[in-house]
Amino acid sequence: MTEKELIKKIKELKQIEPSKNWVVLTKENILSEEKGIDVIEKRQKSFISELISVFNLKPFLKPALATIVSFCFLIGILGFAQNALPGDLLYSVKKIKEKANLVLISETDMPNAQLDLTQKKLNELTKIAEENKGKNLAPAVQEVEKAMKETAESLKKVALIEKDGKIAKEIKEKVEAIEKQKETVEEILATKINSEELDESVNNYYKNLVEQEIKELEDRELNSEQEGLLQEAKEFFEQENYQEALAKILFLSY
Amino acid sequence: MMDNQKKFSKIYDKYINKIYRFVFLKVDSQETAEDLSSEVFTRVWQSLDKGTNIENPQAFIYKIARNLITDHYRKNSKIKLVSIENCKEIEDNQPNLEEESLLKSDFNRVKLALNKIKPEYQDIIICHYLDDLSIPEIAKIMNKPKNNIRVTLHRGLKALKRELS
Repeated sequence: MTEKELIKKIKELKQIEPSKNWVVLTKENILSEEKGIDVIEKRQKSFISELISVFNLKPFLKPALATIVSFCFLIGILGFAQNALPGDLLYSVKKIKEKANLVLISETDMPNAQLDLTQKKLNELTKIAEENKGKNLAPAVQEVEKAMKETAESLKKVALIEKDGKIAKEIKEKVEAIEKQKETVEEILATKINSEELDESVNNYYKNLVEQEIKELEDRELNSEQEGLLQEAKEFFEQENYQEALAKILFLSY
Repeated sequence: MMDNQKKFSKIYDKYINKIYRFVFLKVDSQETAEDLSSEVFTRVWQSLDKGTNIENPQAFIYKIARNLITDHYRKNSKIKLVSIENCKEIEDNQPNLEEESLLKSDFNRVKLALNKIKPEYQDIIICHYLDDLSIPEIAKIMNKPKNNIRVTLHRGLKALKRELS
């Protein structure tokens, strides 16, 4: 084969061509797709460059940016921690926040706040029990028992400080709600939650309160209906059913 | 933007067939040739869109194509590329008369032989005899002296002749 013949054969390969449809479609695709990307890229770039330029122009704003970023990060962590359950990684963050909330509360209001916290812990435990989250169960029970213990402590203190009918009424309602929820959780878990200390404190709290209230009411002038309620309260008190005795007193006084 | 689109259209219409053929002869698969050719022109469009001044579109496009082909082989170095003609019996057990006749033709023989010679020889032969690029133009694309291109072209033809004989 001569060189001329070889070149002639090579030139026959000129027949190779792409399909006309592909040629048209590819061109359209490149132009249309790239236009779309272009707009998005330019928008993103302009936003980022504007943001950067603000802090580039004013170097003193850099610490401010760092503070804002840290603050946003902290808020984000706290936000995520709100949904954390006992045994979760972020639960300790949630607990710190809960403790911080209790710092400024007076001793008189403490039982109420502690009861709210106990209710929250019970809600967490209920959620864990319902969703069958085995690994969170033991820490959640511990949290409930701990909250109950702390509530008992605060109730002991408040019983010594002063008596307040309104607070007593709120406490009674919350204690009843907690008891109900506790029973529900115990049914789901088929296990008992240790609330002896809380029960004892609540009982003592009711006892002291009812005792004082009865003494006060005995010195007051009462109508026949009130006299009847006071009598019933005294009977319950003698039977050591302080909860019912308090119910009668509260009905009579508030 | 409209100006860039016009520039791109002009370049695309002028070079799409040449680039497709250049790529096809080197990768020997229609799908790969289409993908790589499309990528070549996407990069051209991106460059125009960024405001790059393309002084010599021909050299620019061939450079992109050559780089993409090199990348393609680098990426697929672990995958053994087998020409479709060489695995006819695996690909299709049914006899295809059209394919058989194609295989026997000079056209296909030259194509196969071209695939067997050095990539550098392939580039220069395709550019010179198929895409009608002059020796100085090829020298610019390949960043090599003209004499070197002339010598390489001569050697390439010899190598191709050997493969065909």
